[in-house]
Amino acid sequence: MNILVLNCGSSSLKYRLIRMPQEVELISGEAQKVGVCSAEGGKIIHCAEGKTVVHQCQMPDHDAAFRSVRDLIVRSALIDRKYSVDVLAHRYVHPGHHFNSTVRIDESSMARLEKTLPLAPIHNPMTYSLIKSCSEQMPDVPQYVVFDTSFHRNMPPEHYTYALPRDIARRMHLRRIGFHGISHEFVMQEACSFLGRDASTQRIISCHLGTGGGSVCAIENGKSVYSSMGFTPLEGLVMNTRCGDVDPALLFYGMAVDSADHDRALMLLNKKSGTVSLAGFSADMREVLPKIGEDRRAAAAADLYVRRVKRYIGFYLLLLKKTDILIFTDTLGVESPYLRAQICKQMQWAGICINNAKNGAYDNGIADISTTGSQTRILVIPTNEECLIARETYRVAHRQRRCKSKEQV
Amino acid sequence: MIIIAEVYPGSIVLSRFADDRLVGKSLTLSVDARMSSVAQDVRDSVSALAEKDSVEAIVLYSPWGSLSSRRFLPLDRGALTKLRGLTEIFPFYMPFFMSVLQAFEEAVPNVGQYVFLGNSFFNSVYRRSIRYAVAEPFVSSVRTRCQGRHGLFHEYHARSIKETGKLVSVVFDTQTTVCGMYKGTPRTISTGGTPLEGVMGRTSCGDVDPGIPFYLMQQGYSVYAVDEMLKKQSGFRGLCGFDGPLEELFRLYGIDNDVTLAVDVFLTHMLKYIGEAMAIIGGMDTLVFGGPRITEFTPLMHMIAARLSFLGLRLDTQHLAADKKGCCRVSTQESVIPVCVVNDTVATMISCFYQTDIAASIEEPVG
Repeated sequence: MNILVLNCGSSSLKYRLIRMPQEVELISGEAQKVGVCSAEGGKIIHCAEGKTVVHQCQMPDHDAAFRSVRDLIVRSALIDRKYSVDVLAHRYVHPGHHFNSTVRIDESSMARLEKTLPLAPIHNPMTYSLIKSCSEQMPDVPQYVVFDTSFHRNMPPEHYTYALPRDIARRMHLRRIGFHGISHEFVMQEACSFLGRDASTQRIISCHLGTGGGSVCAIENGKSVYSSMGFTPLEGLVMNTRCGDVDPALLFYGMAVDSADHDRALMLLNKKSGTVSLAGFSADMREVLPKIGEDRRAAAAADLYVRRVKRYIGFYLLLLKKTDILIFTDTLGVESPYLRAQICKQMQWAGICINNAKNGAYDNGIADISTTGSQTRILVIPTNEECLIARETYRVAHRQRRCKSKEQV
Repeated sequence: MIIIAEVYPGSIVLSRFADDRLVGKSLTLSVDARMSSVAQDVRDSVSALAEKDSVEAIVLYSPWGSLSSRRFLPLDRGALTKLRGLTEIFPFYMPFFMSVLQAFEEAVPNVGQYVFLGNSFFNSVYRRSIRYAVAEPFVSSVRTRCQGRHGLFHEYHARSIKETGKLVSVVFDTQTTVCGMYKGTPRTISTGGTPLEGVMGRTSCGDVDPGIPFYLMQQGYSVYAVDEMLKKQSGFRGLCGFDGPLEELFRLYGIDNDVTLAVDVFLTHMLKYIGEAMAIIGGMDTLVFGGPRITEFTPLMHMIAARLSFLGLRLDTQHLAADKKGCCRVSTQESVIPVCVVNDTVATMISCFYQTDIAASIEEPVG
């Protein structure tokens, strides 16, 4: 079964065609800077047959990005049928209380997904629109949706509860949900496998630092116990265009100053805040970091970014009491030794000691960048959400096929 | 002899201090919205407190606001103009405070007057680090940086502890605050542009996903209803529906499920900000508890200490420090991190700072 996994990030579209259950990666790629105002413009890095090709193209939205990606895959499939797509799988950020496990797309599930659009205004509408676009462009291919929130299902009540009026919170399902669960779960498994440890005995802090969104997750004995992202993906770290933690009273004040309605205010906090509002010239931290020596606003953006990550690491160090592993993952977590060094600065009190030489020399794959004396192992692990999505999709699709065959018999 | 006037919404508490010590009892003046007869009441109260002694100075304390890191601002036209600028941030309190200043000027025109703004301590926080990553029009507001709260208390805690390397200070109040300090300078504060952010309060929500207010509005709540909900119907009241004194509420911990959850949520918030402070200042040499509600929060102080016991922190359960005045160590000798409780009144703290900032400079020999 060939599963084409589509992972719609806030400014990217990652894709992987994976043959299951062998987990053989046939095609992979990423459309970068989708819908982002950037000096360089967008590009697709497409890998097939061991060759990597970079396609420069303008992608004003995710539909445009998918059209370009689909063309590349169809071109490969025309050359060799082994690249045919049997199943499509999507990562879906915020299902609210409507779903708690992987689901096959049909009219009913689409109607329920539609109700979740306001919950993650950046991600949900994009993925929803992408699913519709896939239904039109590849109508015979079944689609599955894997949810980013499932890993955080087991958070204890004192961690998922907001101090809001109890009745309203219950009625409206207002609680911390947490996101990037697929990535946090994947890097947890990889870290334990790399160190030869059993996940059910480990206390882990996982920093998913993406160019779009980011979150920090506290993991105890294989389960997520806290996520910096909350009811929506707006809370927590400073992100490319999202504000992260902010005084809620300021929101009303900003609305009054701007005479904005709540939709416009929400759009401003989701699409015009974060790094782009601090740095001014770019939403991409990779473009901001080289300028911190010469640009005061770039330095301020980097400072606040690091400070927020440290806030959650400090918090989780007290929550978990003892931390065995600290993980850096996703684009910024993997590509920026500067950010890793700044985040680990002055953390020796907690047994977190980074080896600057190893940190600077990191190139690829999984690496331990801590000093030999560090009580906490600091790991850099490239995430592979698509692999986990393919595993989950295969499990569900395979089970459904078997049930169907039994019924027919 | 100085008189310290603590100006709260609706009341003024006047205390007389001589050589850093409270003399007699404090007087409380009720002030109505129309400010009727305030000047006369102030005149009578000051006379009653001073008896036959001459008043060296009057210090008027505002729990909110900051203009510079200078603690005592001489009350002159320049100071008044600057204070007027704070009206945008404190639209309800600052006009009232200004009216009280005017009443004092009218009542006791020949006595030197100083303004002590409660959060001047936070002016020395590294400003770049306490901004929010928000878009215009939010940025244009002066509120888009953390204003902090309980600056007087946190600064006094730092002063009370002799070895102030890495200090984490907790002030228990209707909204508790946490401040991380390095060598006496604040580096982290839990409250935000308004007191709503941070640790949950008696009726306020504390940290909440910024998407939630908008989600509520999308579900039909007006902006005013949401504002009221977050500020007045949340916190301990929202989670357990309890409206009485917090002391009574805390006794139900472990007995009532809602109360237990509410206290656990509070403790989680506390760990968040103590942890942040430690991550930024690089650990913790001393932990200090204090604030106007330290007695009420004593059981929670013990719970916080218990959750930090893995750091080698040990409280001496024999100490009932909350009943003692001044600064007192409440951890055992074996405790890796010393824990102290500071229990002093606002007026005592201000008087203490007055002695070092103003009185000392007056007494310096000329020439």
